[in-house]
Amino acid sequence: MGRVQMMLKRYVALFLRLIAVLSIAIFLAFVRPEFLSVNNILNVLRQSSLLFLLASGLTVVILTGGIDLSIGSVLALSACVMGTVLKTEGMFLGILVGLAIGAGCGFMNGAMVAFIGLPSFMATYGMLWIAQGLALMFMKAEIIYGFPKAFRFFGAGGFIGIPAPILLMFLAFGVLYLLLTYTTLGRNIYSIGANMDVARISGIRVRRTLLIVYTVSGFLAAFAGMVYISRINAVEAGIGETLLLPALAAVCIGGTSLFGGEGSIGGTILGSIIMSLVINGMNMLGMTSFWQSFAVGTIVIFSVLIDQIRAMKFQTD
Amino acid sequence: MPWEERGGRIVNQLTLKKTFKKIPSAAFALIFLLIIYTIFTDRFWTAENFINLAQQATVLAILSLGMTLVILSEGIDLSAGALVSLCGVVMAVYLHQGIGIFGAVLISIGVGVAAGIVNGLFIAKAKLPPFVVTLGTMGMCQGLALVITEGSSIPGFSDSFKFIACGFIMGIPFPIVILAFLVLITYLILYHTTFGTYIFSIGGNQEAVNLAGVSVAFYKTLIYVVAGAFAGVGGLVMTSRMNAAHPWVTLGLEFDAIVAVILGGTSFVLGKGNPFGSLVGAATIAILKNGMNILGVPIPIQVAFVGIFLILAIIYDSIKGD
Repeated sequence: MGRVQMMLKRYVALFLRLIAVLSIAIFLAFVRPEFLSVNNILNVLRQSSLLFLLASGLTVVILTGGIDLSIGSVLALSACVMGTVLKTEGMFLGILVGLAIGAGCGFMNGAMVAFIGLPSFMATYGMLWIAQGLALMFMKAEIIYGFPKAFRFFGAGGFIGIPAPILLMFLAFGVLYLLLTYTTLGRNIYSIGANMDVARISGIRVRRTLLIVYTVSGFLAAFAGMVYISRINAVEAGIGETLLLPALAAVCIGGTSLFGGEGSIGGTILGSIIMSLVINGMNMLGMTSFWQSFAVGTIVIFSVLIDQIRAMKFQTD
Repeated sequence: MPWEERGGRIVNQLTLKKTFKKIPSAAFALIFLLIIYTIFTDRFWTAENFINLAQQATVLAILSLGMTLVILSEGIDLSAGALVSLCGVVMAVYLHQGIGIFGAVLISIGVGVAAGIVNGLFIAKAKLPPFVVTLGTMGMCQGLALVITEGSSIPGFSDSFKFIACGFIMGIPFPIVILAFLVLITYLILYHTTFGTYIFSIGGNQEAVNLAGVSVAFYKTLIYVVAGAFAGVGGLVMTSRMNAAHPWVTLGLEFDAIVAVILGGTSFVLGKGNPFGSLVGAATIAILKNGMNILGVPIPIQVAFVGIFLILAIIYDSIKGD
């Protein structure tokens, strides 16, 4: 397959996603006119920015051919600690400790995957329950609410009319895009995902790269937690429970292959917007939140299925 | 003569080493826990507690039998816990319409089998990664269970239904009888059918099995169907024990089951392991939680401990090597 065709294929895929976004939006606008209000659209974008911050770390991990199932509970754990420290020791220390805990959990994931050689889903699945247990233990079923005004900027503030979470989303996108496209680390991540053995033989330091990748994922989960609790102005141990599946769905819809080595961080932005539109739409159509986990589960499976069918076609071409 | 002697000694050492390696990490964990609980509690070694333990551990043990088959084939089933809830909830709806116990058993297992077919087809036919597919079906099962019950539980069944989890046959708790029956089935499947041989070989080298002309997709699907059916039985016992069907109380049970299987010495690669190790693993997890309940340790810490057990077990296995 020629280079032009490859490029073409990539743009077609991008185009299809844009059409998906537009068609869901147009459908919702027809059924529920209030969908088009500025408030609601900003709301969708705010939701998708949170989802993106969580899903962006996951994207990087999936690009290496791994998975991070622990992001939801790492978010919860770091948010709980951050909220507590924030209230007692001040804002700066709180943020620092919270982000450090996220990065620490990610580092342990990375160490288990890279140095002990556990399958990534197993290591991070163990971390999921450990972090969740620790978060519950730490909070003792309490809710902390009412953060200082300065801290609330991340979630509820804004700059020239654009909400801060959306700015942070573009900031994270910019940094990760540059990292993945223009740095050696980024290229190494793609090569490890494409073929780990070849990457190792080519002299890429696979273990170190994996360690960095999982640490970044944990850090970004904590960062997402920071924006999240800043926005809702409260934190409790259960906030991360329902976040993993939508984040995974966002990555899959964004066209990042679960088999590694293929995909982009830009796709994940589109994926996050699509997922937020779907969830927002279900709310607007009056479907209970009970339907949402069913819908999100279905979306995960079918987006991976489409990805797989495309890959099979690619092989036979 | 000296040669033989030396040879004999070497062989002895090898077999000793081999037997030592065959002991799953669960056995060490179990002994450790028993010692701790004997020293620090006085209510652990009572008949009452053991009956309680048997009733609690059955669902976990049943799930870990199914999970053993799945993990032997290098798969994973993250949907098992949510599926137990879904089976229980669907069955409860029909029980309240007066379907009778026999029908309830069929429905619960039927729902499990249906979910197993879905899992199996996506994993075996479409060749999607098992953890993604089962994570997706986990969401689907959980969502369906919540939609059906509208988020609350469905309580109140007949006394004869309660017999499934709380009854006794000749002094043996009935759930133990069910468990023994399922262990027998698993044993027969694994060691006395071609299906069982294929399970081990799919885990060992899937490509080779495929080249040998065996339909890997069919047998892989069958593995998930069996696991689903076991989850159905689990839902039956669970619902009977609580005398209510609850849409999310069994979430996370799959984690305990996975840890039980890994503790029991079944590994993710090369199709190594056996169902009896998983039973020891399930007993370990159940006793861990039971003892911690007696000691008054809060549940979140128990969960974190199970996670730590898992990681220790995997590290132990990887250090032990082949």
